[in-house]
Amino acid sequence: MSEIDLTTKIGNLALKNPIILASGTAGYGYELEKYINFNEIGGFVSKGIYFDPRKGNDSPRIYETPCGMLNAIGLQGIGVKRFRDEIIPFWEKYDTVFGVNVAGETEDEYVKVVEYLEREKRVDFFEINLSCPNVHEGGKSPSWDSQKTFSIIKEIKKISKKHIMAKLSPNVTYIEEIAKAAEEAGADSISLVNTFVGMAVDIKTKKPQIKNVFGGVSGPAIKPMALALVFKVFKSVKIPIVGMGGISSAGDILEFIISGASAIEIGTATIVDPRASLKMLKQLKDLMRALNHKNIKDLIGSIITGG
Amino acid sequence: MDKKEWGDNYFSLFLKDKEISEIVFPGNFFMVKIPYFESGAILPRPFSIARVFKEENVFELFFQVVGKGTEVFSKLKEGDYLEILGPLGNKFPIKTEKKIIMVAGGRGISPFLYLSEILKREKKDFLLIYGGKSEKDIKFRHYLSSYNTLFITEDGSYGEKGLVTDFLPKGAFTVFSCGPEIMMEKVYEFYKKTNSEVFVSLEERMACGTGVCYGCAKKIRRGDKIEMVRVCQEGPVFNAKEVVWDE
Repeated sequence: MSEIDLTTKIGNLALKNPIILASGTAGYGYELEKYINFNEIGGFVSKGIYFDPRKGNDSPRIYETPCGMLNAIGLQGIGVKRFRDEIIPFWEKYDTVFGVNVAGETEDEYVKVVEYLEREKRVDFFEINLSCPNVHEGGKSPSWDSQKTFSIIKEIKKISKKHIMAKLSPNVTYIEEIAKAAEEAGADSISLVNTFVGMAVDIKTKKPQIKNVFGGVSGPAIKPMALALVFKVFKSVKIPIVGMGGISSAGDILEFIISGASAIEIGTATIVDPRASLKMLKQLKDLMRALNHKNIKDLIGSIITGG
Repeated sequence: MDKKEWGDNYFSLFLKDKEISEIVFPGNFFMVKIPYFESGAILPRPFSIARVFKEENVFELFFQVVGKGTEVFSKLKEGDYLEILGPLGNKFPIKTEKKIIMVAGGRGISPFLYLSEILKREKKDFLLIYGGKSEKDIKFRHYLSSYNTLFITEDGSYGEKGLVTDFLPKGAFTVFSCGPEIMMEKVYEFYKKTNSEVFVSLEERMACGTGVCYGCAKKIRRGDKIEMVRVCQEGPVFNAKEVVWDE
């Protein structure tokens, strides 16, 4: 039986396989250590990190919706100092691509976080969280605006030599414009999608099910919309794309890759089952074999439309 | 897996695993995966340990149908397999010289079933106060008859009539409570000015159980600060004086 080649590249990042654990669904890593061997996964993105520690939103923070969930955690986090002192050393012992999800309430804060962690050799890339729907005033996120997207990425590129991945929001009219703005500003790659803004109401108390009122919808329910956005962005930029949104099987992974993603992120599936990523990795090899594919790189953007 | 239907929407699942039966302790919980997704439910559900039958390597999870997830579990058939994660979480701290008072409301009886057995085996002095709305909510009557239990119903249809908080003994105890949050808060209010310590098993919507999602956070006092603490990681059992009872 021939070996299946699952190695892939996101620009200068070389991955063992296309599976990355998505920010906010895998903690800082240590929480999952007893369930999975990080050496087996393609990459890992930390929980979003602000410069200072953050308390996050009040509870209830989550609510299950059909085939998905709503969350408004509010980026509870430990801040850059503890992140550098406690989390980065944890990652020294693992051989996988490691990214830091960078958050900020202002443009300056994004830059400050990157500046603080720029010299950390273990950090392979920064995923710039332009898109958390739960923290900015009125739920606005910078990636709703192509100028803000451009300016944040541009400022970060001035001070960072690391790979910069721009994480986009799906809650926009023309995602192509935002993606192009990130590309023009020098982003090395684009990851999408973050969660879709949603809500749910308790009909007895008439109160929203989430304290924050609005939350982000994730899980299998969003997969078709996420896939469409990945394909739209694939058609409009030249930089590589990391696709995500409700992936819960090897078939889902291939759909995103065929639609243009060079790698994918697993999010809510890890919440459902901490071993989901490795289960999908095994499934992916079997599926590639069954479909007579040897090299996953050959499948990136191999979609056939028309004809 | 084996199942028992208690009536009135209460069920027990019996699962077999030698290692889990040996190590699990009251306070611990399990995340039980939804076995099929037709219901649209995807997230695993938390269940606290109810009883352990060590000779048979069997442990029991007790629940009431309250939503989509519990409905799926109530429809499982004998012999079905379930994927579970656990035991997770901390334990009720039983190392105390004081008499132990356990206060349970409704399905909050779960952890005190096995705990009663453990306390009796360890020859500790204890009292279990178990309340519900009516006799429909009082289960495990035969099992609990071997332990020092005070049954209470709001309508008086079984045991004493009233609320569990009407029957709390005065004195200095180690108090454990599990059930509706308002009940646990009142238990704490009752004992906070005494020499008693109160520990409560908190419930919050939970998604992962592993600590990755930060969904199940509760406001907890740490020194002079109030922090959002993950129930699945640092709980579910908390010292009641650390809990911020404002919600």
